[in-house]
Amino acid sequence: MWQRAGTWAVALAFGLVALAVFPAATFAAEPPWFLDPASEQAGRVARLFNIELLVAILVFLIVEGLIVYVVIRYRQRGPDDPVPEQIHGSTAMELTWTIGTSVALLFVLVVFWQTMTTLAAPPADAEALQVVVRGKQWWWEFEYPEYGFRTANELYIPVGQPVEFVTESDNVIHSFWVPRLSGKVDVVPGQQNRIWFQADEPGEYFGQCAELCGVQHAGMRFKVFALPPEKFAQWVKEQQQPAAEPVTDLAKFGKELFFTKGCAGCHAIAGTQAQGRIGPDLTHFASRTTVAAVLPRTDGNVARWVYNSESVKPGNIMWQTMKNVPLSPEEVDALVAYLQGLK
Amino acid sequence: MATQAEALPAPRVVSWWSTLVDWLTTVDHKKIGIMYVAGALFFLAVGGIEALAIRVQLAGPERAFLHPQTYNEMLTMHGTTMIFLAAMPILAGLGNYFVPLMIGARDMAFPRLNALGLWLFILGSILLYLSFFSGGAPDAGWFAYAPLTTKTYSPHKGMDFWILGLMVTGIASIAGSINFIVTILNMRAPGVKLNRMPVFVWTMLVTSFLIVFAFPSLTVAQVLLFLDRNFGTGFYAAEVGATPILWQHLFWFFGHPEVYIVVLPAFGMVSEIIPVFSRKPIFGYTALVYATVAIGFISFTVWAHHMFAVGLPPVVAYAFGAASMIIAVPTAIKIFNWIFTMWKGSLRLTTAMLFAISFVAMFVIGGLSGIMLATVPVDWQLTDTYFVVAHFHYTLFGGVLLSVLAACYYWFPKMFGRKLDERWGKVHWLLTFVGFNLTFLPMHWLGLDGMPRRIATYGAGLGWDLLNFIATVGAFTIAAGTAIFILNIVVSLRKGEPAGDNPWEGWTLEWATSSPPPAHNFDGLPPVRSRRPLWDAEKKRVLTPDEVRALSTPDEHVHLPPPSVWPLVVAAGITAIAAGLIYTMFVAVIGVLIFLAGVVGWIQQEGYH
Repeated sequence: MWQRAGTWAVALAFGLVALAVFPAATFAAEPPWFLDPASEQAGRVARLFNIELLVAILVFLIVEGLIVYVVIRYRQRGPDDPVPEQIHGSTAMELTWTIGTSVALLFVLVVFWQTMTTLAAPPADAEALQVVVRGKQWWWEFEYPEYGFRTANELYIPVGQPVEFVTESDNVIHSFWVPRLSGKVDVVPGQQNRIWFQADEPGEYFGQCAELCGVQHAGMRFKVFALPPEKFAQWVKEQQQPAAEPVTDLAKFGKELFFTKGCAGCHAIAGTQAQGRIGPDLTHFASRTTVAAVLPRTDGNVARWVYNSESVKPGNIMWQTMKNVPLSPEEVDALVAYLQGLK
Repeated sequence: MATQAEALPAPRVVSWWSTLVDWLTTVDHKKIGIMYVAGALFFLAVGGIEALAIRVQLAGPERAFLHPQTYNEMLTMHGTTMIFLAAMPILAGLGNYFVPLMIGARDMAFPRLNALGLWLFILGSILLYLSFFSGGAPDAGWFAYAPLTTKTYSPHKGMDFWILGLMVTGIASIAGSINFIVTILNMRAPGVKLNRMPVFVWTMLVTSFLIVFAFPSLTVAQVLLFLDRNFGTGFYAAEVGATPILWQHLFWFFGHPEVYIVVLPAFGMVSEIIPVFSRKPIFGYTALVYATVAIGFISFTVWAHHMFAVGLPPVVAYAFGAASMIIAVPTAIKIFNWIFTMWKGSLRLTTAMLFAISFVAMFVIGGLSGIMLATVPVDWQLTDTYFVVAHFHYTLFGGVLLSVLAACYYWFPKMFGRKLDERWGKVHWLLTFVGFNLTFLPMHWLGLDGMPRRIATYGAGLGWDLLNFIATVGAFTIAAGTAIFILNIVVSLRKGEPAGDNPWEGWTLEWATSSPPPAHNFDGLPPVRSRRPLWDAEKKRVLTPDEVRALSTPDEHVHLPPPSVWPLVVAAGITAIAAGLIYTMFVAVIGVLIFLAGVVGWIQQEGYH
């Protein structure tokens, strides 16, 4: 009795899992799938992965096929089944699978080495743009040393030019990762790691910190915008301008509050007295698509962030610092008006 | 433990107090083993509840079931609990119970040291969990990367509990390992040569060596971290010129062997179960044993594959990647040997066998994803994503837990004299197998889809929602199976089908005695002339219990060590010292006094007499 129950249970188990998982994987919306690479570097890694996947599928089919076959073919059909022949092993077979596995691994090792060498350094003839990537708790700072400005949570790069990233951290370890463009590089205090890639297609790419870095690790997202060279040059020119002066009375009041309420202690706005380096540079805050990297930059969301950032990113450092500095609704509106004018 | 009823009638009326004293002072490896397993199963349930909390939080995007701080504590305690408080002690417990029986010994070599290990495990675990009531649990991941673990970034005492709780359980592991090594090398019954030992005993031997060599690295790392946190040193502080990467080297030099520490005994258990239920000897015993030893050695040369993204020079990274891939060879040898043990066998698909076969099938998947992760450029993409979570759950859940469950069904009759219910066992297996794959198979896609590990939530519209929801459904499926398992244990302990000496027609020595075995393990041992002492090569079947008894030479000189309270006292002292280092020195001083009293008592008590 229990033999049959066991066989049915096996069939049922495989069926249930296959039914649930495979369609779900197929119909998933557009994720930052690294096997859809947008840079040559990510493309090479995707190719290596696909080769390994083929080898893995082959091995999987052989081994799991053997298991399924053995279980069905050699299951005991009744208590009177004869005692099987007592085989203790076979040197020939041990050698077969030892050598077989080794050959398959050697093949992977060769492709692996080829990929490794091609990823080592940017081509010597192309001039690479340098960007300093700083991991903060819990946001990203991107500095363009040759252009002399900093931005936060949104990284702009030119298409068709190698970009070299130099990572720095003055706090914990983070990890810089844009799946469709490049693998990870850890952002380690006390050392500068370097990574480079070249985006092939203009577009917006998802990035996120990939090393547990504290309470808002999950909120440490960023976006990468790859622009055609001329649009990138235009963006650089805009970012190099000092901040726009407030126009409306409300925004002017907001600017005043920015200094009296202590915002300037942590945030920098070029062209003003605000030179704080603890929080993101806000010079061109209104040129960004998000506030705090997780919300679209609408007036309402900016107000929510300014008024109660804890409700957006629990545990964030701005809230810990500023929770005892209450803001009235009018003051929030004024700050929002000022910030939203920082084109 | 009831002894053989006819010879030594157990007292009918036993007060709860004397029972308690009996268990608290026991030095019997079987009772100690049972307590290890019970404690480990408790923490398995606790770690499972933490996993469910994580899965509820991640069931959909932007959920707020857990505060991100609580989430970090959950993920840290889930990992820490499963590795240190569930996997290791359950293997230590099963090893404790069955290694002496399988080699025909009366007990472990050092019975009181054995008891000390148990109490350190239990008290150390309790200390670790006290963190929840002392301002917060550890929150920096089970890998505890500095500087996130330093006072600046983890100001509450959680990490101190993590450091000292694990140091206390670490002493338990090292004490237990030394005991296993000495027991296996010195206490084998006549005829149990090294190359006749059951594969499980071999794996426990190799694992014990791994623990002895790997744990000191963790302890050193933890001591330095404790000094950094509490005494202002800067071993991991970049601002004084040190590097936090030091932590990663020290931790993974322990951490990777740790993977094999928990998985090798699992390999050993299926190497016992699959042959018995195939009614064939293990295929390629020698190859399996050499593969085990090889994995033990290679496991010390691969640690930096956890660190490919920290900025290692490419050649170094390649070398560690290649070394990691080489482990696939001995692992493949094992997989094929298990499959060819079943080849042309007569497979009895009992619950134990279903779990064991599932282990082989699932471990293959974990191995294959492991090879992908060993190739450095692919690892740069996939490390710290859900692909890795999928990978190591296929090795640790699919590997360790499935084989532990197989072993529970296989050995429960020996430990308690009754079988676990087979029908409920099948349901348990079905729910576990389906739930496991529902939970962890989708995580491969999530990793490829760019979902990092350890994030407390994720944005909508990234295509991660449905797969995460399926994973959560899977986790609750596993929980349902586990509930059935617990019920099965509770009911079967009282009402299970009586097992007899040898319910599965096993052929290793633990089946040569009664179920449960008497305190002295064996009245007498049958001669051991092969790897399968209970197998009759001429009749081509397993000896019946009566035949075994007829062949055994009764041993008239049974010496058992007396019970001792001193291991418990010493363990309490050590734990109090650890607790004092966290709270206040006053407690530590009291701890030292208890410790010294325990040591003095221990020395003065006579051992064997």
